[in-house]
Amino acid sequence: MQEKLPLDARLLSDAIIELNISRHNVSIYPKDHPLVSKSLNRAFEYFRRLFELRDEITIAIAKDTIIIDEYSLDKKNPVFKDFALHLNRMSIASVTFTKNLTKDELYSFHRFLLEDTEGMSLDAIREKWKGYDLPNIRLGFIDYSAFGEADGEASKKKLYEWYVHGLLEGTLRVDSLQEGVDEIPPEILAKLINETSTEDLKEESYDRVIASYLRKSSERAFSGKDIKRLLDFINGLRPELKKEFLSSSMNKLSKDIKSVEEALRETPIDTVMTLLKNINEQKLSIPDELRKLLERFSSLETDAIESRIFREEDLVDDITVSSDIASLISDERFDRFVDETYRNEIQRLLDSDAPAGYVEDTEGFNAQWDEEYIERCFNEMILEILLSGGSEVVREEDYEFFNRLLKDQIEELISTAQYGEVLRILRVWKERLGGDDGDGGASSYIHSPETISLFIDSLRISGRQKREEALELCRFYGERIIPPLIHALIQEESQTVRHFLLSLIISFGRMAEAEAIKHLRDERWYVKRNMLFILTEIRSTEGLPHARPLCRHEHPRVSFQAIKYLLRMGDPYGVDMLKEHLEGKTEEGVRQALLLAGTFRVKELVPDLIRMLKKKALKSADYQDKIQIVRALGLIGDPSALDALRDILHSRSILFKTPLRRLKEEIQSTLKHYPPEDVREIIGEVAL
Amino acid sequence: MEKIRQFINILTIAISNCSLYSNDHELVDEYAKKVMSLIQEVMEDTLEIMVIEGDLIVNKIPLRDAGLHGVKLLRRMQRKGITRIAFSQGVTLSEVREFIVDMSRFDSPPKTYHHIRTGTVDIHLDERKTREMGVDLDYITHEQIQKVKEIYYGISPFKRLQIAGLEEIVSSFILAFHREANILKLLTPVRSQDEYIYTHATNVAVLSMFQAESLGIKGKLLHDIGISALLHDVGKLVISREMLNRPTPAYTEEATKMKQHPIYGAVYLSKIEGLTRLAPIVAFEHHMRYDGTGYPRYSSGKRGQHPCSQMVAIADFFDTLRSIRLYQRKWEIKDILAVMKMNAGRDFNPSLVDNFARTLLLATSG
Repeated sequence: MQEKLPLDARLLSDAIIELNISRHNVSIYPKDHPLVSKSLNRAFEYFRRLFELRDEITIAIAKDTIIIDEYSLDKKNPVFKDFALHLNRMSIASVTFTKNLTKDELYSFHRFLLEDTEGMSLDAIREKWKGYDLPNIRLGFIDYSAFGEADGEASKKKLYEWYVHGLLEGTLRVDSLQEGVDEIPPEILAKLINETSTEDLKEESYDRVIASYLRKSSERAFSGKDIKRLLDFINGLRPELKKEFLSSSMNKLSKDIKSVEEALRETPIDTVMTLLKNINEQKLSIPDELRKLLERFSSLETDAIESRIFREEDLVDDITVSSDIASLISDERFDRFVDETYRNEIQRLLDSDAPAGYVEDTEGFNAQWDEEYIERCFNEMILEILLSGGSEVVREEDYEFFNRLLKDQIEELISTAQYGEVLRILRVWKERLGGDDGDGGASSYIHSPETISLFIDSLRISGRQKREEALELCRFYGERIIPPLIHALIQEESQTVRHFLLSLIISFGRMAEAEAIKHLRDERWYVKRNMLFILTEIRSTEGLPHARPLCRHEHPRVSFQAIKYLLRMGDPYGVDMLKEHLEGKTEEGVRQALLLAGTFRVKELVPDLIRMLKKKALKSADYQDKIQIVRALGLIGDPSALDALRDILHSRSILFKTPLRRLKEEIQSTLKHYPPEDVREIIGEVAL
Repeated sequence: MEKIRQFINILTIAISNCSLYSNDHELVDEYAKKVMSLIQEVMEDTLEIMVIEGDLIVNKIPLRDAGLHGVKLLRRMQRKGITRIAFSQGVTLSEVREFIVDMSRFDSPPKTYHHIRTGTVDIHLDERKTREMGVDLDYITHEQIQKVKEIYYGISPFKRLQIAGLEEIVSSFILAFHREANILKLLTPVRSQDEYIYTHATNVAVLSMFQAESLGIKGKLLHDIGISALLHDVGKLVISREMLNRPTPAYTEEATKMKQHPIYGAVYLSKIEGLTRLAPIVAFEHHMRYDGTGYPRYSSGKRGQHPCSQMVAIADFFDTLRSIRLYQRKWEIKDILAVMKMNAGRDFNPSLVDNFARTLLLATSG
């Protein structure tokens, strides 16, 4: 076996690039196309040269990154990324090419990469790959079944104690300890050392600890992180230990000023200032060169912030400030602008007993971190950008991107009954696009049968709770929403939902006429009845000829709805039909006809009703029927009925005393519906 | 696979309905039933959803291009601190319903159910590798600020933002302010003009996360706030790098152009796959004021800034004035806070100013 040699990075990069080009070519052109053979030849040539260095080359894929040996190829390179992502999408974790690789194998490998493995199980993908039978290409697949539930973490405290003990005792070499010491947080290290008796600590102990913190090797210089950790460690020590460790640190640092300078470049200024402060407090004498260096890095470039103040525009950096704050910043006369009250308030805040992290309206505040709320804010922001962003800020492709995004959002918003949000999107689209935007655009999406069906389904479940928003959204759709609404109404089993859907359809007025008339032909009685109801409510004139034949429909709910419709529209045919029903084939028919005659105040029926009223009562139930006639007459309120009523009021019966009394009571209660001047006399008679 | 996709969509919608309405709303019931029915359709022995490297894996099969619903479910799982959900045979409608309610609450840990298990996926990464990735960095170092610089300077309207590094940086910020009680010590002064934008971004991120954590925000949301704060000014880079580094006062037209940076930033960040939605929101709103003025403004005027933008606005203002204080060395921190207090209710959310002032003073007085 040939020894593993480092691969030529350039060669490898070129090989992957060619591999990706040939993959694309294979996907577009037939095998014998010159572009395919050309790119395959080139990729193959790179592999041939790589095989001179190694017998086999393995490429590992970590999502969008290609890793070879321990190195990853440039993560930002779009070609590598494209290739890695493609392999990752096929659940490929690694590809190994071996020395006897042929061009045909390379071609077949590309063909395999074109397979649609979406949704396939790992076994199925493996099986498919096996079918290609390519002995010089091995694939490793991502085995998602290897991922299991995680365990907890073990405590490291014991390990830290062991490290520190060995470090102080000098029983372990600093070099071998490096990784362990690096892991120990500075305050824990300080705490562990603080717990050690001073007698056990010797100068070498200090140096060993410091050396472990400030290890410098040819590969690694001091870093800003080392300085900060060192300072944190020293600050955590007992006062008597502080000076010793600080002194040891300064000795160590002063031995390599150049590295210290590099490290200080990375160190925040406050840290350097604190270090200097510590040195001064401990009255530590340090080499001049080191002191000067520390002093240099504790000062600042004074114009760095000054230049961020755009005074003329009241901008401090990018923050617009009110003129008072702008003056405050430029004039530096703080007291003039911020009165003592505010400073006192700040002090009061500090002294207050309010718990930390208190905000007013906690519930409202917390609700704003919910994913749904954030999503709504995001949508609103996009809509604002679409509305107000000029073409300079929002380019054409941005609009397309946002439109795609909003389409996805609409599905979710409809399913969660957020019709108001949907409407806002639709209105912005309308404003931006000014109408239809062609196939595949926002407009065709929103009017697609799938979207409408989703909307109707959502309306059924929660439309009633969001009635106004639902109505508005329906209106936005306009006429197009009527057929699906009627279809949903026909299918609906729940009476409550049917009422809601009916109210939506009716809200369209005459726009719903044609669709309702069309459905009058439906064989199902309840469909006919509902359509007649719609036509009635929208006061359709076109529907009248279609409704007339239905007045004789076998199902009374259809026939009476048809009559109701005709009566509402003042169609005389309705009156004729009512008369027909009054003549009484069925009791229920007569009852319904009386009800309608009263409700619609059909004066033409008054003579018929009087005739019915005057008919001699032969049994108790006849009085009950007469009560209904009296009611109908009362609702009509025609004075021509009063004589008949007066006759009843003056009549007596021995056999039907109680039913007659009830009938008289009914007459008395209906008198109020007649013209007062006509009933005054009868009322007087009754009172006597 | 289509059924699985449908299951993910319906599960996500069910959770969304639960966040939007009361637990006993008809929609919650309706969708719980739909989820249950789809579970029965797609369940083999178990039905397992995992998140691995930002991908949803359902029954060991990656669900690519999971769409808006997939992304939303992924985000909810992250917020909940889980990367694995497994439904097993025998799962009942009431368990599914309760689980949906549970998933809609982002501020509580997941409950346990007899037939639904939630947890994390063990990826068995080499610990040393994890450390090298910077997850356990304890301090805000120049190195990290350089990373922020790299990210900022990698920004262009024609390039995608590398968000992988952002998570790392934000994690290290959190560790840093857990170690260092005095938050001011973590703020980095601007040494030179060309360092300004990313040093300031770093400081604003630290100060925003500091506020958020003091309000009990933790986990994924805290990270998201950090990332959003870190990127709040990216719009400036989309406008002009030149303008940013110019050491002279801006002209009127430049100042006008500068005022468009929130829109540029929001547009740019909205298009970054996998990035928290808070990032574009904050980029868009961080110069709006609490009272609805500032720039840009919502034409509908319906909604003000999101609290995350309000926190970033506070951090932004504080760090800018603090930087001036450093140079002029005249103002005390309390004075800057008094200026903020004076403008609370107009420029800033008064509750958040009070919280910031109190938490900052308590942290720095110790």
